[in-house]
This record gives sequence, C-alpha cells and structure tokens, in this order.
Amino acid sequence: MAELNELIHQSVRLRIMAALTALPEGTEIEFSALRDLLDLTDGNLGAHLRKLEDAGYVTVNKTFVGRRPKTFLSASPAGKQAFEAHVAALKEIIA
Amino acid sequence: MEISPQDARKSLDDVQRITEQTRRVLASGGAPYYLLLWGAIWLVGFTLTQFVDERAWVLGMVWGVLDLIGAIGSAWIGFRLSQRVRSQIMSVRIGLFWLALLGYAALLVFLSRPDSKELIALLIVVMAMFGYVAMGLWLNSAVIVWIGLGVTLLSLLGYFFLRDFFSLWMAVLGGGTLMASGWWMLKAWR
Repeated sequence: MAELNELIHQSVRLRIMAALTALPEGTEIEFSALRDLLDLTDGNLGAHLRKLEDAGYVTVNKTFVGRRPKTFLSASPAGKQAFEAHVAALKEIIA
Repeated sequence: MEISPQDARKSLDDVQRITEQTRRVLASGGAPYYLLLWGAIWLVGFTLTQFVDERAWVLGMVWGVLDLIGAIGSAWIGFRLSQRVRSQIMSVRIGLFWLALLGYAALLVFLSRPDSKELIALLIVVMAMFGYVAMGLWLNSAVIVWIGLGVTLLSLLGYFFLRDFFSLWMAVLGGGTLMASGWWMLKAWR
C-alpha cells in the first residue's frame, strides 16, 4: 500500500509538484512562469520551493539570460517518484 | 498521516487541474504569437500578390522580404519563450522539423514545376498546414490540428472554385483565419 507524503501533501507544494511533473523530460520552467501558472506570490512560491529543494524533490538551476538572472525549475527523479507514490496513495484512499 | 476520502478527492482534482493547465500552457507556447505574425504576413503578401505587378521577380522579392520578416519574428518569439520554459531537446527537434518541412516544400515545388503562381502558393500553404497538423498532434493540441485542417480546406476551396481571386481569398480567409485563431488563443487561453 502506497503511503501519503506529508511534505508533498501540503496544498501549494502538491500543485508545484503537479506542474513540474507535467513538464516533458528535459524541460525546465522559469520561476516567474511557474508563479503565474499557479497564481502565487514570489515569497510564497520561494518558501515552498526551498522545502521541496531541501528534500531533493526539485532541481533549481540558476543562470543568466542576457544580463538577467533567471531561475529554472524541474522535478528531480526522486521528486517525480515521490509525487507518483503520493498520487497512488490518494487514489487508494478513494478506491 | 491520514486524510478523509473527500480530502483525497479534492487533492486529486487539484493535481488533475494543474496537470492539464500546465500541458495547455506548454502546448500553446508561442502558438498565438506565431499565428498572429504569419497571419499578418499572409494578409499582406497575398493581397500584394493579387493586386501588384505579376512579374515573377517582383513577387519573389515581396515574398522574400515577408518571409525574412517571418523568420526573424519567429526566432524572436522563440527566444522570448525560452526565457519562460526551456527544453533544449524540444527546441532543436521543432526547429529541425520546420527546416525539413521547408526543404521538402521547396523540393516539391521544384519537382512538380507548377505552371501558375496560384499553384505554387497552394503547394506551399498545404505543406505549411501539414506542419501545423503535425505540430498539433505532437504537442497534443486539438486546436492547432483544426486550424491546419481548416486552412487547408479553405485553400483548396479557393483554388478550385475561385481561381481568379485565389490570392485575395488566401489573404482574407487564410491570413484572417490564422490571425483570428491567434487572437482567440490569446483571449481564451489566458
């Protein structure tokens, strides 16, 4: 039986992981694009991303586009695995 | 950790909604901007083709300049998009796909030696719309597939039933459809 993941279950983090897991292989989304997609503030998104990054679920890639600093995000393999296990656990509950 | 089936259902609904929203944003990508750009180019190009000097070099120059504007504009849109979502593999594949399609369109025109400017235009338009259908299928976007099929059908109707006004038909209905679709995407998908 799959187990719920307490870190991922929090509503905002669940939405972050859903968005990042929906990206095709090798694709990264920029911080502001994810913020707009999820309708969050910079601070809120940043705080939840830090927790997911600390857990090794999100890969953060800081780079420069021209002279502007940009932060690109993607789900790590461990993050994808944890998210899929969490979704499987949710499905088991309603089955 | 334990949650109720209602909470689990709500979480799964959230996951489903965000997943679909993300895929839609990815699928649309710069599609509205590309449609507006190329729709405007068709509108101007085909209107000029209908009304200005029919000499080949004049039309060649008109379309050469417009296609150059289209290529530079498309590259700029692509650059702007890569600042929000980037995928090296996808960008290269999409670029190579359109390059290959351009090559095949040129080969088709060369081999078939069309005897009129209308047939040349039809062949290029049909190849471009094949590109739209293929991209729509690849990116899982039904709207882009329908735009491709719709403009193909309009082009064939114009070619076979309104040959004398084919360029004008393509300017208004071909370019117009692309621009209207782009405008609709911008409004509906935001």
